[in-house]
Amino acid sequence: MFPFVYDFRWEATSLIFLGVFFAVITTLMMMVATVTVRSVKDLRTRKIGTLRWHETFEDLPAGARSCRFAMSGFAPGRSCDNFFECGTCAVYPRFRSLEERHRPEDHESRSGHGGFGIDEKRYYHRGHTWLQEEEDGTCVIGLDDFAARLLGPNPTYQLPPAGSTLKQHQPAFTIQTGESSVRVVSPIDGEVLEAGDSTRGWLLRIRPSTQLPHARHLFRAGEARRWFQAELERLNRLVEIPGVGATLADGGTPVDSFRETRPDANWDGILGVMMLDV
Amino acid sequence: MKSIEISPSQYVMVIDADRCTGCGACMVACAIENNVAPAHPDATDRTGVTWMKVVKVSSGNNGDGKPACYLPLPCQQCAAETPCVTVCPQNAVEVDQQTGIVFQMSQRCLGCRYCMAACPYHARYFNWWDPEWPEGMEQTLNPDVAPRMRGVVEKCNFCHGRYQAARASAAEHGQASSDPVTYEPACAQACPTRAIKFGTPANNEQGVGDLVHSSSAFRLLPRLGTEPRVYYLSKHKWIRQMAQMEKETSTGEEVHG
Amino acid sequence: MDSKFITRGLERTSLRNFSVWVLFWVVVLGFGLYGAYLCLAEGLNQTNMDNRFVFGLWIFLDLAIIAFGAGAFFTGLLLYILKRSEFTAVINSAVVIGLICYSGAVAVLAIDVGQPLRAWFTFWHPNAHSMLTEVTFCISCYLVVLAVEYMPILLKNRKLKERPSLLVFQHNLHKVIPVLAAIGVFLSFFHQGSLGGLYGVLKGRPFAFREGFGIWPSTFFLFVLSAAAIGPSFILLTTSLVSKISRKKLVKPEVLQSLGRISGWLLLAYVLFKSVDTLVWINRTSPSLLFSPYEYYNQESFGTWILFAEIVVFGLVPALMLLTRKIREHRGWLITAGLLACAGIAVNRFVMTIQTLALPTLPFDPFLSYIPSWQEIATFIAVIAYGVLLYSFSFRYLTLFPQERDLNSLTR
Repeated sequence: MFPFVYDFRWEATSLIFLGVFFAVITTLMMMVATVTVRSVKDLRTRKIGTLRWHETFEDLPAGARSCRFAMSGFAPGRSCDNFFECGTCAVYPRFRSLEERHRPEDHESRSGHGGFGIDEKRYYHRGHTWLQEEEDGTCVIGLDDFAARLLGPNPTYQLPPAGSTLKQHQPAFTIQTGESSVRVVSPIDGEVLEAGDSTRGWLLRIRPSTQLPHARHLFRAGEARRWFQAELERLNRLVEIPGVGATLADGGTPVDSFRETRPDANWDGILGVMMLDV
Repeated sequence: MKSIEISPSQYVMVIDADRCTGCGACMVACAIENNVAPAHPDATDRTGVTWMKVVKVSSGNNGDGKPACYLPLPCQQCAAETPCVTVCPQNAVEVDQQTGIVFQMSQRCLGCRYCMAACPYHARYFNWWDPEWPEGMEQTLNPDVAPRMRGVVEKCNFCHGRYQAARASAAEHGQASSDPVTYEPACAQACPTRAIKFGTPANNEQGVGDLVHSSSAFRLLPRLGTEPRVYYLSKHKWIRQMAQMEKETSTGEEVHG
Repeated sequence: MDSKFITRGLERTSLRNFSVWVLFWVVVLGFGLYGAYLCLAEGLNQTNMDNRFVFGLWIFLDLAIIAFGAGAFFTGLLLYILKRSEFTAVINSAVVIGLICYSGAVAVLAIDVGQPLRAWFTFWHPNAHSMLTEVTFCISCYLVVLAVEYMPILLKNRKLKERPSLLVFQHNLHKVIPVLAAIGVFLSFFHQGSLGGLYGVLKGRPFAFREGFGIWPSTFFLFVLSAAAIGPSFILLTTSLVSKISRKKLVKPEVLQSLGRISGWLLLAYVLFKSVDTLVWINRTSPSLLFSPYEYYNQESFGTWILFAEIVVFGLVPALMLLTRKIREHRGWLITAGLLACAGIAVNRFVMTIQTLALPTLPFDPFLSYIPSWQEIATFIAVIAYGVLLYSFSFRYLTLFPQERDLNSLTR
């Protein structure tokens, strides 16, 4: 195998064969070395949070990753390919201008409430959190109605302390319900000012790094309503009995807790898939 | 078909098929010379180790006066495109350029048995069992030959131990190492009818150099292009034709020994 | 109880049921390992192989499962190099199947050789002219490649990916997967081919000997083509089997049909080349070595029916079936076609190993027969049990089928 072995053959076939073999082995070893070096670098520069979100995003089922413009009908069947970061998405401007031209009412505020408790003042995030601007420039974050009905009564919250940093799409806080726990991703970059609870109607008060109207990836008004409908359909598909079809309430006001309609379902799994924590 | 000229200083073996009586003395002598262990009680003719194997060939009804013949089959020491050498994955077989003997290095053999599949003469044998000699029989072991362990392939090497002894003795007498030495493998020595002759064409021991060119000389499966060093002699046409695969005449095989 | 280790959103059977399943296969594995142990401790006399039948059940089955395991490299080729993204649905399962097939084959080979501890001699003193050296090197490298490809699948386990170091390592490994896939294709081409070349170069066995291109006999290329053809079929068969046992939909039907169609085209090409090769062999190669081909087939156990079975019944027929849309769309017929194709490849491997050795070369040789001993069969059963266990654990705790969550409801 090596020239120092006593019966090494110095002939073309042998040299070509061993040459190719060593080339393959070297490539493999270099690959493993490169991966290790890159991993160490990524760990040191603390890119774990972003990587974790990217991996989680890729692990989401296809139904959870549909592009917002697929839901509005302008890009049917399209799957998000940018980790829900509409701010850096290449196709966002094109579709958004289409939407504004043909369906301006989706982005306008209206009075009143939708069937899911959609508040016209709030901005909604696909992780089922909402944000609301306060007069003093801070923001409050809460869980939307959909998540509340998924979690059922009396969940416990583990909220980050004041002074913590939140990064967009990285875990902000954890909720426990029954035997499941779910990590909720932060809807935006910011700094935690105060932790709340369900009695105050919000969970976190933060100072956001971006002004909310400039946060492209958040939903408002009509778009949020449409997204909620899509999420309800997605949930229906998760719990439908083959041959019977969807069994959750369709249309009208949903029940207080989804769990009580199908107590035998795998709610840990449903929670994970719906709350983007897989 | 034109055959390659075998170098005159390399060994050939000439076996006279007409003289072989099938007594099997060559098989016994070979086993004793080369430290082949007694067969395991469960061994059969297909699992035993017999570097030299005498095969009975029936002529069927094509007689011409001879109903059967016996062919001693050692390793044919193929001179060209040696099948076992080409296929061994770790070069555990090599052709000794000086003597022409195909050399099996059992201590490097992995036991993959690919060489056995490649050998068209079935001249290679695998150690399916650990070799075991009964109490006291170890005194009969030949100190010039290394015994082999279980799981490796072995075969006839023209009694290479005897060659090395002859070479050493010739060197003591001042003979040049490039001159071929004269020696006799155990099978040739034991044969009572002198059917097996061995030597180099250069030294022409027992006339082997002339016999290989005789009209009754033939080799097995010449069409394969292996150029074996073992020649057979027979005046009977059916035997010569059969060996060269011109006509299939056989029906059975029996082993003696 | 172990739900924290199971991917979120996937339904798996209870731990108790799983334990019963595992226990059963562990017992089978134990029995098989006992047979293998006997062969190692007592020697290869425990098998029914002999000096004429030097290759037996193990080599035949090894060649067959290596051909079946070709789905791993071929799916990798389709997905990472030809960018056919629909095959993300099956790539993980294909890698696991490949790992099982190759590691199982290597394990059996370690028992098949007389001196397994000397296996490194082939690396230290390689004979570049021998096909078996080529096989050894390539299969060893490829097993390493498969193990590395398995890492990202393993590291995506729900609990393991919590650890930042493992998550980051997995992420970076996945980024270089196309390079691994390319190396895998290169290695697979050569070892699948060399396995065919093993028999094609044997001039002393005119039944197997073939002319070819350069140093490579035609059997080299036929083996590569047949392995590529059977790979997708085996993936579709295993996916259907796992789907049936787990009572879940694992992939969208179009994926299986696509696999079937690709398999069908390659199988058709293979049947064509094989027919041409057989004609050349019958009319030119074999007679030049003075063996008339009809002699090979005048034994009752191996009449010309076996040639017909290999090329037509288990070759042309499944190829045409797989190319017919109506048959592909019917799950039962698709599976039947896949099974027929696999049988055809198995028959081909059988013919090249067992039939080659059974046939006489010397004019006074008889035709030989061989029946494997129970130890040989047990060893192979150990491989199957090992494969089932490895796959079962992978299926339960890892995500082998990304489309599964979209196709099944989460009701119990």
